[in-house]
Amino acid sequence: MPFREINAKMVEAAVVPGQKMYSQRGAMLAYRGDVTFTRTRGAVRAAWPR
Amino acid sequence: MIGRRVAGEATPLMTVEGSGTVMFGHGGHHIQVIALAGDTLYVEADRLLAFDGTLRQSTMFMGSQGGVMGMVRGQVTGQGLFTTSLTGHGSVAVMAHGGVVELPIAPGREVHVDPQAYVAHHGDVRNKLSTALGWRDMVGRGSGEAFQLELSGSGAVYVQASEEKL
Repeated sequence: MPFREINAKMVEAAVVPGQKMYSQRGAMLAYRGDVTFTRTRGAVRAAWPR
Repeated sequence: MIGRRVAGEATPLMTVEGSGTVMFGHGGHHIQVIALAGDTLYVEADRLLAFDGTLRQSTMFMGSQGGVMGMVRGQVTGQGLFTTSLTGHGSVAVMAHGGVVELPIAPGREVHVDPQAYVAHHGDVRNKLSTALGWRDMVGRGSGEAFQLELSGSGAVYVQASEEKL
């Protein structure tokens, strides 16, 4: 499921039945078709204060 | 509270399924697509824009990469105590501040990187944070950076055109 670079700041991916991908919440800009987005618990991020 | 900060916080992710096409982006950051062919990508969770569900995801404690220096590195790079690894065959879209360049790492051809410009790396790579201050800095011929990240082994490192975090 490769990502196609639309420009330097946007990528597009094809979603097919039976295959999952994960994205950071808020990363979806637009979509076409029958696509669902379900919140899931993700990777641990930095614990240092920023 | 300290325990919770040590354990870290989970980056909210979305599971994307169905049939169609999706466009991804975030905050106007530059995006680098990295294709993994069975090896492992190490990147901070906050930089992950999207990735194939076929990749195996795990979290690594930075201290395991060199004890105290591993944790110091985390503070210098801003990565914190944990980094995310993705292993297998698939694509990963990573965010950066500014454009990204991929620098190959090979035996005998180590790469030294400004920790604040470091984005990610993949392959069989060892990393070491070192203080760059030496006699050259004393006479004004040094790099001007207090810390350098030295990466050796076989793989590649991704460096952004900025010292700013996302």
